[in-house]
Amino acid sequence: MLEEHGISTVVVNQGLQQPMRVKPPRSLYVKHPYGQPFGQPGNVEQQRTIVEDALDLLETVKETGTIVHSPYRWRREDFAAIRRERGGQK
Amino acid sequence: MPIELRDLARLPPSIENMAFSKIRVERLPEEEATRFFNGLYEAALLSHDDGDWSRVESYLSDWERDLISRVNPNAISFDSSPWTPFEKPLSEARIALLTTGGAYVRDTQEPYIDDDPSYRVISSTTPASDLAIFHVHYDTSNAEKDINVIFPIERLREMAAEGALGSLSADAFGFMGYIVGDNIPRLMEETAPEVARMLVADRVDAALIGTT
Repeated sequence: MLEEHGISTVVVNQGLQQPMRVKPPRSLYVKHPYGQPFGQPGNVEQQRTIVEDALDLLETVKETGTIVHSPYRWRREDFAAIRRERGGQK
Repeated sequence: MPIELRDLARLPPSIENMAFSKIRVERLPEEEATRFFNGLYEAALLSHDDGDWSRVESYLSDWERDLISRVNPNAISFDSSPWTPFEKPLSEARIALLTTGGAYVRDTQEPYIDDDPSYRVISSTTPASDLAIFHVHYDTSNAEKDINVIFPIERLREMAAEGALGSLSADAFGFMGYIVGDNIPRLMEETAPEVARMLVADRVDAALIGTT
């Protein structure tokens, strides 16, 4: 809907039914417990990673209605290391 | 009388309530809640017998998925997906944050109600501690500890300060994402276009929308 006004959008989804039914232009699907789309409370590195991944879809998704699956496992990732690998303080 | 399973489950505070939280917070008719517990007990007995405990995990996941799909009986579908290509680098883009997780400014704004198409205008400089949440259809306890869990405004402020983004919009927007019936057309025809016009006026390039 915002796209009709010239604003690109990316949605972070916690399930697949919503994006499959509503078909937002760009979706990041995260496999998190329901109610924590951007990550655990206080986990700055995780939250930042999810935000960056979602915003990256603005640049990388080329076909409307694309759902990208976030690869991270809920509690078992070292997000500080993941961010360091990406080049640290982007 | 409908009950919330979390009233029956009574987990000790030492356990972080993270998995299957949708099952805990939905209000179910008593016979359905009974059916849930009986089925869970049966699954546990069978799993104890054959050692396959994935049966219990599947039972809980299936229930949760079913509840999620049921909460919006008048859900709308779209056939086509409109599209505005994003054509500038993120480091030059003006980004707006939106959430359907029910965030609002505690001291100066009214909370939402259930099935509420209204939105809240939240200045992008609002301190995280000024924000509150109203939502009865997801477990809000984690978002109450840290609003960034549903509304990562501090993470976006950091990115803007570092130059990873061009800028943040002047205002972010909160919605309460559970709406049914007549409120759906109202959202589509009145509310969303109002928000869109504000974003356009603020020269926003893209919106990051968190859902719950």
